[in-house]
Amino acid sequence: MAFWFILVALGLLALLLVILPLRGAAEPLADRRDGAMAIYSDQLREVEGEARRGVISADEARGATLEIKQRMLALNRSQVGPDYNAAAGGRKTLVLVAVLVPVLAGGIYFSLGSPGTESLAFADRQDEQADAAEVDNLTARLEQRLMDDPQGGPSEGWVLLGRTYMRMGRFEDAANAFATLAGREDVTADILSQYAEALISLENGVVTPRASQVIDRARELDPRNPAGVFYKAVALDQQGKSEAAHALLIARLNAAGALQPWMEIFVDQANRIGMTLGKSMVELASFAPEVSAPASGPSAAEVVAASDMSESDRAAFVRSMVERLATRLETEPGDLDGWLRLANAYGVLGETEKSRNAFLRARDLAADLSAEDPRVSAIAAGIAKAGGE
Amino acid sequence: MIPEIGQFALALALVLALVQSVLPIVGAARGNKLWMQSAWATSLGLVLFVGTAFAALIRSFIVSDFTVANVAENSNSLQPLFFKIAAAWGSHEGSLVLWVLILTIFGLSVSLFGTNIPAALRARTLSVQAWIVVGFLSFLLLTSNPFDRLIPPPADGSDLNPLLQDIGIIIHPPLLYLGYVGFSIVFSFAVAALIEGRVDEAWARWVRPWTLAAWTSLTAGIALGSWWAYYELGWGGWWFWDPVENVSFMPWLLGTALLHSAIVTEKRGAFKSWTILLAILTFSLSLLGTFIVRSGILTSVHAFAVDPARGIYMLGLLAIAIGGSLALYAWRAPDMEGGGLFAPISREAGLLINNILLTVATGIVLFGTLYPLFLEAVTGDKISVGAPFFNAGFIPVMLPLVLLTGIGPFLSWKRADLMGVGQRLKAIAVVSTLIALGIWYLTTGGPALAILALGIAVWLLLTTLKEWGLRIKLFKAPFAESLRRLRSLPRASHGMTLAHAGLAIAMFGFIGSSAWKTEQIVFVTPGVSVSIAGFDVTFEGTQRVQGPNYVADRGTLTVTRDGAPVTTMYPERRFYPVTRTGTTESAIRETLAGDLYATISVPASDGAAERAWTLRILYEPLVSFIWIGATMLLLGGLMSLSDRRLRVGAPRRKARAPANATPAE
Amino acid sequence: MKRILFFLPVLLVVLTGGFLLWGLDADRNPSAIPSVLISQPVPQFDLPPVEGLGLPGFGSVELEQAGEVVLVNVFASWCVPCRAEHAVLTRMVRETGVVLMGLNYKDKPADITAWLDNLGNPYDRVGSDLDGRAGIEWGISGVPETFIIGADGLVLYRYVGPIIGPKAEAEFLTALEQAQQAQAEAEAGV
Repeated sequence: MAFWFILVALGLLALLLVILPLRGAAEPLADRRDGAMAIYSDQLREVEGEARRGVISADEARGATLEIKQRMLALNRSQVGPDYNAAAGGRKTLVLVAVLVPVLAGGIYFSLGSPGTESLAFADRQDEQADAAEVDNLTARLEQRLMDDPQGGPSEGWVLLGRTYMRMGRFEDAANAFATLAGREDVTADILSQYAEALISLENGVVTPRASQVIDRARELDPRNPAGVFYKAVALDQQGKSEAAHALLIARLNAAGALQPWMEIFVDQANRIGMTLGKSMVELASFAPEVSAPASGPSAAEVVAASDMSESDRAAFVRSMVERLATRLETEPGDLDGWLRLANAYGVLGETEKSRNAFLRARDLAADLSAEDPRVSAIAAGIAKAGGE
Repeated sequence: MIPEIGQFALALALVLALVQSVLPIVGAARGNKLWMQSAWATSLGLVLFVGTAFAALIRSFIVSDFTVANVAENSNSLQPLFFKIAAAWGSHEGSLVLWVLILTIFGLSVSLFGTNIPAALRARTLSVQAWIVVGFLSFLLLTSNPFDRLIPPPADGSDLNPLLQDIGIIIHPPLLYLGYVGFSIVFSFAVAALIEGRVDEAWARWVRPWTLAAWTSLTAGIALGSWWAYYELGWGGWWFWDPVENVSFMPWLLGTALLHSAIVTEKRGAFKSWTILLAILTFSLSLLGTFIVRSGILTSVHAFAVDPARGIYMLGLLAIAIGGSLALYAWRAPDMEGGGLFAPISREAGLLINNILLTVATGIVLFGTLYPLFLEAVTGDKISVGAPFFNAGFIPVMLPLVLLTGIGPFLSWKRADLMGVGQRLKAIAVVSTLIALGIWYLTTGGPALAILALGIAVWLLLTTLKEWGLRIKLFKAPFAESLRRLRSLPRASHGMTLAHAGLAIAMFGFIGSSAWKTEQIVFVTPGVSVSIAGFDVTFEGTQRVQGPNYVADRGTLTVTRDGAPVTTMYPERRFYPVTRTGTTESAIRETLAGDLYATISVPASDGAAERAWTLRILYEPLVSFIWIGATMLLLGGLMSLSDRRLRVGAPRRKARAPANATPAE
Repeated sequence: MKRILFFLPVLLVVLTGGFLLWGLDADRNPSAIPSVLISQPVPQFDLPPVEGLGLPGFGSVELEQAGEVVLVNVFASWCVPCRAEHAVLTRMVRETGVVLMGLNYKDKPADITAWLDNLGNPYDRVGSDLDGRAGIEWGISGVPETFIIGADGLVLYRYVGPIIGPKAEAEFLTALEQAQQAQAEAEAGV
């Protein structure tokens, strides 16, 4: 409230300043001719004075005086400028301009500023600092407890500690916490990929050999772990194997089957890498049947609608999407990624037989892909899961 | 809230500046008194609003309001208050706000104190000044908004960059470049005169105080910057021909030329278009300087953050301001009537040579500053132009100039009697030569150029004193008569004497500390002695000292001369634990004869057994004379500025008729 | 004629403005100063190995007698851009097989050993320049810097700053290829 008051006050002040000359014809304006004449008279007096003091000779004084008088004569002959003191129009324009000043300034301000954003002095942020101190304190206590535990502390505790440190941006401490778990029996791909994330964050996004090892271990434990796949792709890309990185990301997206929270990041990353390789852009919609556009999938509006549907409606909706995909694939049977997606979708819907058929179609198409292509293993895994050959 | 008020104030200032850009100048063209008068209030508003914004920015820095991006990027809650405040103008955005503030203050000054200036000229000048304000305010708001917000605020400001902790680096560039903002108003006067199409003797008189004010503040800025580099930064020198120093020095050189050519225009009505050109070019060089410092186009110890978008915008501003004004000049200047004639030997001719030499010197500095860029653009080679080039190019131009400065004031206007002047100065020439030879003998053949230069400096000092003595008939008339003459002499005349003598005295310092500087860098352990310039300096060892927020190793140096104790010096090596940075605190023993300057730095090896410190000792003879001379230049400027004649105006509320009458004989 | 003279200032300004505009090119680095060492023999120096790293040190002799094009990279564990550059150098060594020698500038042996353990080691030799003397001999202006040394111990190329980004890498690799090609031609000639 006070803010708006001050804003209006400042605007009014500016307005008043512009219309200030309206207050009345104050003093007359200095005229050029009068001013110049005064200066020349002064110059004359100066020459006289210098001659009197003997600084210049009488001859020089005569010459100088003559010159100055010529100037005066020239000035008198010169055209008289407009008599500014007589003129006094333009009042309306002035008022109009004055009103425009705060309006325009407001316009500029609202396009550049952040009205109503409070200032926040460092000293006034004690709550926030206290919170931060409290978190620091709790974290330190947790760490101490875990360290003191003769059994080495429960794994959940270390995970919590590591995650907290990650959130605080203390990557080194986070990496240390996760490192404690890396040697344990119960270590999961999830923990290892968080460990890798801490190590990579610590180096400002550079995948170090150590981080790379951790990623590989995570992938040994669970080749489908999204974080593990993601960082593997980052590592491959940094090693210059951008093709492989791109393929890895796309394969994992294909294997997803349904919309998952991590997919968006995968798509972004795949496109970032794909751009340097000159590959065409991929879209989230082509991997999650739920988000496909009408020609080949549902529109965004349909997806929103789908999330509001009852369980049975949604199943029907998804089924219709899948059927649309199946129909499209009949006309374009060469689309390997499409078949993979269809196979996954059938898998999700529980139609094992159809899923297996789709995987088999995909396998035919993937025949000339190298064994290293992640899609090949995805197909093999899918066939096995759907009941074998 | 406060930052938003600052933001709004800047927006208001921009709109007011737009109003001031148009109304007064249109008013002057159409004879509208109301519109012309509006310049007074708007220029007051500009100072108020830009001042409000600057205050809001400083406040945000003081309380560490990290919701302001500029604050978060340039300061930290742990900094001492002084550093926080300094960071307000140490950042690119903040220093631009200060730049604009000074621009508006000069505009307001013309409104307040320029009452003797004809209304139309004043209105046009203020409009042109407002154009510059519009250019820089829009640059500020569109490319370098100081009040950009950061929500949510970071927990704390940026890491404590050691550069942010170096108060010298923060203060040095503003000192150097703020001085030259003043020439904006002279530029505005020149452009206004071109638009008006009238440049005469009276115009030169009206503009003189503003040229003097700008020149004086630039002199102060350069001297302070140099002083700061020498004493506070511990750089062990006072001038480095660094691009940032050069860009402040060029407007000074050209501004000095302008100061002198304007005198000819005022007295004789000659050099009109030349004076106008100098006024335009001086501020153009200031703009170029700001651009060079801001764009990072050249490497310098002082460079600010580089941003190509800013560079392009600013280059556009420069193109409009400089290109536009010079195009206007090319169109209008040829029509200016020539002034009074003069003989090849006359005061006018002397000032003409002065102008040529100063312009050539400026050209040399400009060329040396931009040459690396030219060469890189043409051949791709990268070089850096250093002190040797500038010394080789600059000094040979300056020496004849100083020689002439001694003679100039003796020359009379129109036609001078060189023989007569020669008669008067014969004795001084002999004395100067003898002194130079004497120094040669004493220093047993020091550098020939330095001895020549010293002789010329002595010449300038003596001729200046002689001229002053002649004017007041010192020793030629009774003392009371001389005193009376002293009082009746115009202040500007005293100003000239002070400034010329100041230049001579500063030259002693320049020459002494460049030519006879000695330096020793040695590894020392306690008890080791070093001899320098007749002093014996003994390193007694170091001590750990606890300061308010630092720990220091304080070295103790006892200085003796021929066995007699002279002084004890305590150079320090400080370490600030919070910021983990170290600084070097030099110890300086100042005398008129020369400064003894000592610094110690980190032990040469980590091995505890042989803790040898690196001791650097410099002896800079006569360096104090630089500061004395610079102060005299400054006082000379102020003295001239106080001259009564600069305020001559038409009597107020006078009817028109008497003014038209020819004054009585 | 006289009128034309009055246009001279504008012309000069336009000309200067053109150069300034050129100078604003974002890809231009005004700090990149070519070394005075270019086409000169490597400076005389001899660096001990880093304690505990297990790699030999090197000096002028090793560079003069290398018999092939060698890279000398000035680096340090305390230098942040060096971390980013490290990945590039590692890849370059793996892909081109060039011999890389590290001039470890003003760094503690323990720090640099940990740093290399962590990031991996692309260096064939690492010399420890604890007091920065070799750095002065090489005339470095900062860390990192990378030099290409010919088989005969001549400095062929100097890159100031980290070799990061496609443009910098391409520039450096081109210089390296040229050096190697010149070397191959010289050998074929002999």
